[in-house]
Amino acid sequence: MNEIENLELKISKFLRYGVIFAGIVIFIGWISMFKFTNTFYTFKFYDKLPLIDIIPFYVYRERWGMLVAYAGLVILISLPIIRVFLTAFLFIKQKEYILATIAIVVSIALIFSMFLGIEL
Amino acid sequence: MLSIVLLLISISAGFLGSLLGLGGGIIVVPVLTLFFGIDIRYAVAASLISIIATSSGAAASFIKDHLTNIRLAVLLELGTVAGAITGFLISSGINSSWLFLLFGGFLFFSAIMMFRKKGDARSEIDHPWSQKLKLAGSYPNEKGEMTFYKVAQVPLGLISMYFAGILSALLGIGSGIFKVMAMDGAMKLPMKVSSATSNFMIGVTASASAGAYLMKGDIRPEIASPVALGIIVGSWIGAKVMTRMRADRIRKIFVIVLVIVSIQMIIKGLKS
Repeated sequence: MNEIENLELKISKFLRYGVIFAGIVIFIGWISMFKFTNTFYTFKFYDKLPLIDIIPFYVYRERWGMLVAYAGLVILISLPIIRVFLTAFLFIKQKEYILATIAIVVSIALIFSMFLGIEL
Repeated sequence: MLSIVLLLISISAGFLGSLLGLGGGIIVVPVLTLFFGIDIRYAVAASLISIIATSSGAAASFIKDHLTNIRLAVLLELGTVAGAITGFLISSGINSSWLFLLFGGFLFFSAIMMFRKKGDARSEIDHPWSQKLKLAGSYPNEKGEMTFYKVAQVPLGLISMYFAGILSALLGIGSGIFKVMAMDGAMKLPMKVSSATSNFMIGVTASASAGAYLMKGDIRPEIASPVALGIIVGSWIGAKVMTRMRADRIRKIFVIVLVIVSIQMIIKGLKS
């Protein structure tokens, strides 16, 4: 196994534990909010409600389970972004500047994509 | 409690998905829409979450087996992420019935692809981009000997990844079937390398649109939590028993199920 694969393996193992961690956080949130949820009826029709409006609402209503579940989902979504970002560092270490640039562009695009969701 | 039912279904979806080498999205989205009656946009967003979980969870074992081409994955992620962002942007302009039709069509296509089995077509020529970025690689075959491969038609592969990214964002799927097709068909990579590299990439593709859907408010913990938890547990069980089970018969049954579900999705798309 070459050096880059070895380092990638370390990152991927870190991500595997990241998934378990995110899973535990989501589970805690889901269990805590369980009493609030009864049916999926409210999701029968699409209701456009951005996250920046949802979060203050749940904070005000003190629905902590929901907020913990959101935190778990955020951790999960950020895992691949971290992976790409770390890969860029690995390529820089290997003096592979073209691939490093590509990985940096991809990670910037991933962060940028989140902000696209805010505007719409 | 419907949440518990959804959790159990998601466990089965994760289990079946890892057994058949598919993402759970192909099962989760029809279940959420057809069975629970949830709007397809919430279903797509919840499904994307589970794709990130399965891809990130499995990446380590594929790299350990020397199957993942990390250099190629980084390059192709450029295409899939651009596609995923495009997919998210056009998703607002597409109504539910079109999404059902597109998903139904995709399922039908997947069912046909699952029946198609073919040998590896190896490339003799290494594309100039591949030479420049040293994308060619090797992997151990069944006998433990290293098999070397070259990478053909890199630009075509990149363009295909862009379209795979669009589908992923629109339908809440990993679009692994298209990624494998592009790598195996156009870039002439060995099947095992294509599958492992595709699995490595789908999490990144999904996170590009999942982040945007989260901010937009489409990812709701009430749906996404049981789906993500179920898929994590189910795919973990699937990976454990995979070596002990013959997937051929399950694959045949699953193809029939896919065809039926795809027709139902198309009918729903035509009705609404």
